[in-house]
Amino acid sequence: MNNKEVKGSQSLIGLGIAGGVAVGIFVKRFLHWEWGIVVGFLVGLFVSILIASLTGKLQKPPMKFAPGKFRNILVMTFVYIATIFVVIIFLENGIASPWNLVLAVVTLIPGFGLVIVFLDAIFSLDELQSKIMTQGITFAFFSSLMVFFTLGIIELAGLEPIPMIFIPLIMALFMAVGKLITMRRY
Amino acid sequence: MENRLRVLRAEKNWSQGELADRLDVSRQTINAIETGKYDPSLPLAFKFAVLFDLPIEEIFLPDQTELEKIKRQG
Repeated sequence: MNNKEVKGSQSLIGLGIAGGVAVGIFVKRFLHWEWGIVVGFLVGLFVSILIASLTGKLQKPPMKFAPGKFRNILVMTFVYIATIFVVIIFLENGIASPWNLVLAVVTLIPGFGLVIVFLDAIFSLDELQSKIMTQGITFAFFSSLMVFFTLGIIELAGLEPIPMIFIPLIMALFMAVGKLITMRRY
Repeated sequence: MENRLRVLRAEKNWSQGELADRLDVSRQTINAIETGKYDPSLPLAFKFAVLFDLPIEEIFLPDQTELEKIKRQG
């Protein structure tokens, strides 16, 4: 694959993500805008990777996952988000107790599925990349912990509580930062 | 730990990517090992030895000062 094709796939995926986020903001009439951005991001990423893959423009990823592992993560993420949406719709329409609690806990099933496919993908990496990912996750875990403790204390001082959706976004951001820091060492 | 991977790879006329594919690791890993930023695990070191048909100690050269230090302590 030449440089032009690589840049083509990066542009396509970037465009997909940007388009998805834009659509997410646009659909704020139907969803909370934070959810719109997350769904838009994931759908944009999914569609653009699919198009890049079908048109043969997909860049060989820097992380060497075993075949199908990355696809499993995408599929499971999609299933998880879809489950959350369906559960929210049912809960907002009013389900009698205790079934509302049962329904809320149902999201744990695809949630744990996501954890399993993610771990499976990390175990499929080679030894250095597995180390980079593990150190990135460790960085994300402790950094997020500190940020959320601090935010909790600031809330006690009078700050409005932050929306729940920011928790995975902040964790994902710290994981990316942690991975970049670790990659610089190697 | 130093190593002779770059030289051995050049002798075979392989790129880092080709070597990575033969060992089922990423090119990033080969680059990190060649530049001395990462020391491979023992199983991976054995794979290098088999691929280049050389004993491990002829590919990976231990830090002599460290070894002498351990020898003195022992």
